[in-house]
Amino acid sequence: MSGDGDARRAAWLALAAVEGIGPVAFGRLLSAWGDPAEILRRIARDGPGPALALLGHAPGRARTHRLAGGLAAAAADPRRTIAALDAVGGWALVPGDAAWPSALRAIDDPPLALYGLGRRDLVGRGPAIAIVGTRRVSPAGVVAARRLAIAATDAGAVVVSGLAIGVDAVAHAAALAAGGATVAVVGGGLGRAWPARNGRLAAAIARGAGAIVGELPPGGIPTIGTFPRRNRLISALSDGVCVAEAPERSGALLTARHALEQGRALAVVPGPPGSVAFAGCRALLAEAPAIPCEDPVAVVAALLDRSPAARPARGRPRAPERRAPGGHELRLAEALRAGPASVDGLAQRTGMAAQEVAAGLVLLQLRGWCSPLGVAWLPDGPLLDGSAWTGSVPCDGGEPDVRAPTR
Amino acid sequence: MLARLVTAVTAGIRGEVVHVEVDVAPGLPVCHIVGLPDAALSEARERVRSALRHAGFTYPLSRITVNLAPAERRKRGAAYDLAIALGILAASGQVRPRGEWAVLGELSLGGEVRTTGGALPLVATLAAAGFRRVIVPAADAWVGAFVPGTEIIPVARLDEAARRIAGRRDGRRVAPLPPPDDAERTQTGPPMDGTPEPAGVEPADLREVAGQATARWALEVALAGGHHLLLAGVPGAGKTLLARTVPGLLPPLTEDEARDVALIRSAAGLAQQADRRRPFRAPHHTASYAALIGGGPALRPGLVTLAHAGVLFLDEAAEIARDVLEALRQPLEDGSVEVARAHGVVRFPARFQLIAAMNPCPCGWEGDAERRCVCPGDAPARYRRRLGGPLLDRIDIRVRLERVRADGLVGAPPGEGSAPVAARIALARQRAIARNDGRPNAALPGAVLLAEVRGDAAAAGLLGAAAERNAASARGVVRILRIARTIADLAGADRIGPDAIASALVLRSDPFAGLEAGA
Repeated sequence: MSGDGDARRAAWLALAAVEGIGPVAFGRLLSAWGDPAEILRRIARDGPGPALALLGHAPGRARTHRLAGGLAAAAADPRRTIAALDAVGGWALVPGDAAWPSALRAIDDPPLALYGLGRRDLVGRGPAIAIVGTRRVSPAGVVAARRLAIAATDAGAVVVSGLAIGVDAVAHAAALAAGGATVAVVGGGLGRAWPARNGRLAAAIARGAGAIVGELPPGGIPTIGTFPRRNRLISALSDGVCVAEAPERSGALLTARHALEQGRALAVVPGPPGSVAFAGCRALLAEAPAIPCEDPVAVVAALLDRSPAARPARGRPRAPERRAPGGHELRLAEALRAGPASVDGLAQRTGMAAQEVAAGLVLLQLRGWCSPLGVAWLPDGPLLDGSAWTGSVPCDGGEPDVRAPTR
Repeated sequence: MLARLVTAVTAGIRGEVVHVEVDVAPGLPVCHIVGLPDAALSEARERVRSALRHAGFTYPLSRITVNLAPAERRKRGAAYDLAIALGILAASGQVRPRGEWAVLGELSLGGEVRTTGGALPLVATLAAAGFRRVIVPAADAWVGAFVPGTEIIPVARLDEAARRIAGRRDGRRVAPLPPPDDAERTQTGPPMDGTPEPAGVEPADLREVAGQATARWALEVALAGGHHLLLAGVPGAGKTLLARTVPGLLPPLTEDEARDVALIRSAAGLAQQADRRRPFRAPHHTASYAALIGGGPALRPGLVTLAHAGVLFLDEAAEIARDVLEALRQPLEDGSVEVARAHGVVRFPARFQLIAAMNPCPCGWEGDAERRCVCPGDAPARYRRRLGGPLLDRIDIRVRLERVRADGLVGAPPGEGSAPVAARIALARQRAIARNDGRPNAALPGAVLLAEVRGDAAAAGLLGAAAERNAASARGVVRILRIARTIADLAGADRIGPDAIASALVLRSDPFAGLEAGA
């Protein structure tokens, strides 16, 4: 990049990072003065007054005062955003960069810039599937999100989500555990953009096979509008959007709306019949052109507009060898494949006594085939794989595909 | 002339010996009671004067001084009446007592001897202080069964008591309590002051519990091994119903336990029970500190003490006041509870089995399939923390119940009734107690259990793997082994096998297990 282009880029980022400068204000300044570097030069020379006048800000108000300070600081040090990014080890993309995701050109309300940590090459490149859903995730939602993330990974797609707790975190983690790649689109500024509970997951994404991106500069403070707004980027950066679990009035429904507006394919997990946790999903299926997600592999293929591919061989870490699962364990494993259930529920499905179920579940858990969540036990490891919800369980005699537990 | 008698007053569930000295001397006819009497005690002189007259004696027209020693301790109530009356008779020469006498009882104006409540601990105190014969109100005659070696002399009237201390008739021994299986239920204790049985429940049969296979199993293991139990679940899951089946599942009290329970009931002013049912106390979650732990002006034992040798059921445990929950830690740890008073500390026995029930969150519906939890943010997590780590850690078995769906009930076979379960529990308890020198499995030391597992490679390996996975502490491993021991006892197995350990791990697991960081 030329020195001139570099200066223009730095000025763009400095200006875009000023609190109070949104796409509208930015556009006005650009159309008046032509170039971000020129804008900052004028502000440095004449003070922020003319710019404020151009933007229609009345003098004397606190907001105007803050904006004036921000503009003056940006003009005084046009490289400040780049320096802040360097400090957190991040990068930025601006419209016009070769790596600027083409998908963002097609949306109504593109961001001024994308700031990121981790692998820049994952953003807006290649096939991507968004998996979104509620923060208050139920056992069925966890399993749906994990199955979708594994299916997307198997299809070679990047898993995109929002790094919130609940479905988002489950999807990111499952993609990483399956050896896949994942992109987290966050609503806040880098470094403070995620719930504290997801700190370790965020670090794993940024340092491993993933990227964290957002439209606020490092240290940018999220406001009430920023989290809903990032949902448009989640759908924009994906080929298709899956809603893994949504009760009524879930934020995930907003992402689904963006997906439809942006012409993305939408898949929705219907959930167990009558479950309130999936009420939003069922409403979506009733009202919107969405694919009901029953087979995650087929759904991922449909979202990527391909025919379902054969499952690629994956080099997953193997669990230490244990004795082969006994008859009880296999029966339980089959029952778990049908979806998460409590000990009571599994006892009903298998006809075993509660105590036998409990003992068998612990053995399966040590094998990495299931994990507890509240009252429920979730299928895990090989019980999540496969193109169908049911099927035979790979055991030590068959395909050695016993993964380490995902957590 | 001077007369000396001995009586006792209640302090905690033990009594305290009080010496009653009466001096009748020439002078103006007055009666002074010294030694920090309260109002009821000061009125004793009126009761005593009337009772003496109606019993056919003369109230001496002299200067009467009654001293209650130790003098610095505050005395309350009417328990001293009989001792004062007999003292006046002896000091005025109307009766010549033979030897030293210990006396309990309140007087009516007509000269009848009334019970004052709490006779058993008082008699036990007097016996421990070396008094070999005690005069008690006739209504308290039953205490004789509990203080072997002490002569209990029940009296109905003041003149009868006066004859007895003059040695005119020997006291008779009172027949001991009938054994619990005695078909003829004898009224062994007085209805006293009509204190109602506190914090009881309407018992239920396990047949009434629909579904809930895991919770039934957890309850059976908990009762068989004496393990504390937490039932967590949404409203209507059946937590309270399940707890109400407990009285019908517990084996009867042993002889030693029955004695302890009788002592406690007497101290609390409760009627003695005719059978050997284990105590089951279910205080409301708004119960006060004094009601639950003990105390109050009369220093009554609390419900934790009334639950001694039985079960304390705390419904809505997360709603209980923090100081009360904190105070529960001590009895859970060492089987007794201390009530601190200005005059020192009283220790009540409180070796109970705790069964706690709680909702998963403030609104109650977290995790329910059909109703949505409306709690904001981390309110559920904060709600669960109310129980407190140290308390939760002492609860061996934790189980989460879910609501049984109506459609799952139709066509489901009815659950097992209480009788066979109670039989299994009794058998497993016997097995454990015979092996553990009288201790339930819940009280077994870790070394014994670890030694038992060390020989079994499969069991030890499973325990190691599970401990590593769940990052269980050494204490956690011991608790898992205690549960496993009980599971083995229920199965009639001599050794703790891998299956027992595996299923114990589920009973010990976190009922609120959530998605960890990194999902």
